[in-house]
Amino acid sequence: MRPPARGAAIALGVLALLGVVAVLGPVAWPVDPDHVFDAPMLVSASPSVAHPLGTDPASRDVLARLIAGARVSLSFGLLAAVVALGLGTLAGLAAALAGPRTDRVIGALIDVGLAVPRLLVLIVLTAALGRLPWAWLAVTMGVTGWFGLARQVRSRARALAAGDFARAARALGAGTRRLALRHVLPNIAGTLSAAAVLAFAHAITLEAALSFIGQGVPIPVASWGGLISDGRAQLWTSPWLALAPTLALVTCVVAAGALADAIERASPWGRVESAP
Amino acid sequence: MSDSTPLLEVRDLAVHFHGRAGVARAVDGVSFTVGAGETVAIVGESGSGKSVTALALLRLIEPPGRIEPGSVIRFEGQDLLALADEPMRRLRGRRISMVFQEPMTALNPVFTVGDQVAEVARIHAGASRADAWARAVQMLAKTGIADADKRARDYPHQLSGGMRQRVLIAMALLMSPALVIADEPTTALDVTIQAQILDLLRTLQREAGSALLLITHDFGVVAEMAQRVLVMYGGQVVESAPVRELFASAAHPYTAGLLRAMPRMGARRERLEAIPGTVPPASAWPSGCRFRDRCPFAWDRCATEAPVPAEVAPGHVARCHLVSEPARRAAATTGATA
Repeated sequence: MRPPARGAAIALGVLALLGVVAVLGPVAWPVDPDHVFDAPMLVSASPSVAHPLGTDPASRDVLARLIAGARVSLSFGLLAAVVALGLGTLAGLAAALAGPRTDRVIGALIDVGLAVPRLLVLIVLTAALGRLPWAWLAVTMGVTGWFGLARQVRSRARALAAGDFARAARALGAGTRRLALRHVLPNIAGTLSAAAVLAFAHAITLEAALSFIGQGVPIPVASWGGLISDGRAQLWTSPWLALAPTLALVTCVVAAGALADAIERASPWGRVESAP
Repeated sequence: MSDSTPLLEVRDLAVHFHGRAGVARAVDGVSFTVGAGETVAIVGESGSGKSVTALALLRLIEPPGRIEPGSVIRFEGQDLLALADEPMRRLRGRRISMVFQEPMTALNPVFTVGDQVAEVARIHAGASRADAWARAVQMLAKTGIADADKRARDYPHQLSGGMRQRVLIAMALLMSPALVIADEPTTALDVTIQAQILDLLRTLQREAGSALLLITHDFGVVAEMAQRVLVMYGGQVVESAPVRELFASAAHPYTAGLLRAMPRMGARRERLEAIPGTVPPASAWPSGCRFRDRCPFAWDRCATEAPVPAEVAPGHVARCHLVSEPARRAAATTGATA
């Protein structure tokens, strides 16, 4: 094994740090994110020792809400990525290996899925389904986000299945399942993990976009996107309200992008030609 | 060859590729037999249809390729083309197996070689992980790999080309199949390794009692290994004969040309002869005889009438009009040897 690329290590470190904040944050900063501190006045306080990032217009502690938002946004991204990865891998493998008819059906589905703007689909879906709890919203995000991944899996799987070692395996009696599990999947692990990391980042960004038009994770649950949306009205008077969650979201998405990039370039399993 | 039914009987095998630009008749009416334990060589240039024939025997032709109706492949008394997919899959690697040409890419880079040999036992013998591993190591040792138990833990990229070819042979012969197809098994290897690999193939083949269908373009390999030869050109078998007979008296001008193009120890000739031209694409065979554009003896009959297989001597068949025209044939052979 070659040493991991430095970029990948840094990106992974940043994401791990965000994960630690999400998991251990409530222990380090045990403040209820929904608690209203100054009930009658409902003023947005500036940063202070009691509230390092101030309070929002509903007089809630912004740091506590940022930590709560990290929990929601990261779980949201993970859940959406897992769903997209599962569906995309299954569909891509089926298209490549289960025969020309399956390939045509899945191929058409992918073309349509990629042609229709995803944000539009999500807006229509959330409008039709009503306000979904965040986990279901994440599943919906995954269900609408596997098309690109499936296309990648399909083309790589097709090339691998037509390649020498898959053909040799078939000549020795390997069936479709064995072909998929032994000869295709392990050889596209790099592509898959890079695509999954990207799906994670996309889901978080899209949730922020939905929050902006009031269709995101429902209040009072805090997500980074929701916090940005809550804070934008006070951008000139209390900029930290929107800037803190924006910074968190951008850091997370940029780190994920860098990680995906590094995986794709450095992965020993990324390409067929290279050996581990 | 046994006197009863042969191990493998191929009759009128046709494999056509139905592309947008037309139909490529890669294999077109091939018939031959292989007896139990026998070694038969298929010789021909690239594009002659020999590899497609091999893949067709395993039913591994991918669309747009298709084994055409009317083709017959009988193996161990079974009609392979009538067999359902699942029994056909169980046949591959167990009764018929194949050694491929490219040892550098025919192994999966993410698994150890021992694991890949063991996989064959897991597929066919339902062996447990430990049993399969033990069989794999034993088989690798048989292929002459020293410290087989250690080497089995190596990944393909840690082994040389010759070693990898031994691994592929171990995979193909693990189940002692009745028929092993070897597609140019030594072409990608260094000359010094080639003889070793051929020896190994022959030893293991004898031990398992397998028949060997050896695909090659190298008459040296044919002389070394085979009892009978099929010469393919243009998707057809143009000549078939016992090895000695073919070397002594090739009847088809193509075979004669191939033999003259072979370097020979102690030959006084300064330059090797080459057959002029190249194999035409399978979508555009010439009318009549497919070799006529490159044949030094072609006359008008060759353009109008496709030759059918004709017996030259018992067990020796050639697809050439010369066979039925002894006068021309005599002139042609004296002309060729002059």
